[in-house]
Amino acid sequence: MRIVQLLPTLSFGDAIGNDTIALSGALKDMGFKSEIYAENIDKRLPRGIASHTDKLKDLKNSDILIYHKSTGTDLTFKIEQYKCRRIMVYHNITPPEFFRPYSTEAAKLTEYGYKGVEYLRDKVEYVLADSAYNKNELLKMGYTCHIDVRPILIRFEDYKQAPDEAVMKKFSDGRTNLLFVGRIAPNKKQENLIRAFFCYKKRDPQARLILCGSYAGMENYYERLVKYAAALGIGDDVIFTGHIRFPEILAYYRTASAFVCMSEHEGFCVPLAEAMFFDVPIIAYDAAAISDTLGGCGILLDDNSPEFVSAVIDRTVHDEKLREYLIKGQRERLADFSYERIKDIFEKQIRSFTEKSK
Amino acid sequence: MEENNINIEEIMADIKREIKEKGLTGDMLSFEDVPYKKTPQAGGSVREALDFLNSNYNVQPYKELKGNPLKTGFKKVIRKLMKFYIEPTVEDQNNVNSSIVTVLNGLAENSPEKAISKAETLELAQKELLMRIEKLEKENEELRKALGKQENV
Repeated sequence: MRIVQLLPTLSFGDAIGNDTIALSGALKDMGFKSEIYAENIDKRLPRGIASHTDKLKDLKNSDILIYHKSTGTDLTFKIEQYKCRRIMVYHNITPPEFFRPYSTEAAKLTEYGYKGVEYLRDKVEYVLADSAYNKNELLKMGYTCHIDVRPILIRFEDYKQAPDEAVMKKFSDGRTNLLFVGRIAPNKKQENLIRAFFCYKKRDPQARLILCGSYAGMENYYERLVKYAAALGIGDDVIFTGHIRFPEILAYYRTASAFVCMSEHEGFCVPLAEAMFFDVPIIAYDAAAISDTLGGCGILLDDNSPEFVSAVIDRTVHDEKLREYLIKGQRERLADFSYERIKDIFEKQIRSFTEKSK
Repeated sequence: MEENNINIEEIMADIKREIKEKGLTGDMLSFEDVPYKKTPQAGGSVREALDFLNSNYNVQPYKELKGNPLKTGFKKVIRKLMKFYIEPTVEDQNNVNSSIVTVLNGLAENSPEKAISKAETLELAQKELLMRIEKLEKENEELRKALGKQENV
């Protein structure tokens, strides 16, 4: 049997690209003929790892197409042309309301993304959602097909690479480094991190807040954040790294005192798992899929008021026993995201799906 | 969530109690007060429209052709056949656009918007400072009262 994965863009090093490639490997291990098709294929990926969607032909009724849904694209509306069994992997889409004040393009793209999710409602037989939150979102949108939860596959092997030396040196100076990793985007609520940091600075004047992530396409929001930090008088200690190389990201994790997340919309939030990998204690506001990914580890906040968040950060950074406890819990949770475990879950789900057709 | 005498719920409750007792409010400048470039949907300004014109006034006659090689080849042939008509028209349009943008930029230079932007940043900083002064005055007054009480005793 042939199982093909289809997605608009297969990127190098991003969560969805890594997940797709890892799933393809898992399918081959299971004895299926596995292929990847995308409209755009990152040139940094090994040649032949995927083919252009134009080449996707001759699918039989018994074949399976796995479609990765995460953005607005015309490809979604062409899915009916593939006369085979169809599965959707739902990575979630950021609600357009977050983007509307800052980027018309991003708002339109995500709106189109949701139209696509609605369109697929009766076009797919089965859904694999990255989190229980994603599953619930589909149920609310009227999905009636079977939906299972399967966390995204993360290549933790990559994180064992050497971190960037310059960043390591610069940020290993004994000062507290509060870290958040993720695009500069309104749903991630970086302004709430700045607010909490403003309060925290009164407790720990030498502290830094590092916002690690690209602001491409979100320049208006980024400029507003920079202005805000400057007006609060903490502009010098709020560091926006912009788009950086992978070894630099590793160095920021390795030098972080705590990982703080105030995001209000995440379909999974890979950086949480990354923080677990690097033994960085996590403090996160309870919204969207955050609690699903933490699975009881880290500190989940029911309140994002700056005084409260800053007090929790202070306790986490300075209470050694609490740090040890949090790191231990995070290590246990990290085991749930191991390649073997997720592969095992995926294998059971795919076997069960293929058997239903017999 | 209890292990080795660590109970996260208890810690959170303690922190909340402490914040309440100390009356910590985290007063600061609101993010909503910070001006930003709004999208046209959110009510963008003339300045933003001018920025858009400055980056987009030069129209390209052709878009990149992607997809099926057969279709792309066919489109290339059509493109070559239409070249005599499209290119001079686009060039004329770009000349007009360029002149318009030059005039608009000249007008904008004389507008008070630049000064307004600087003033906005200063105003924000001032707002934040005023909040801090108000807070300090309050604390000062409370300390004076407490000192007065002590002296009376």
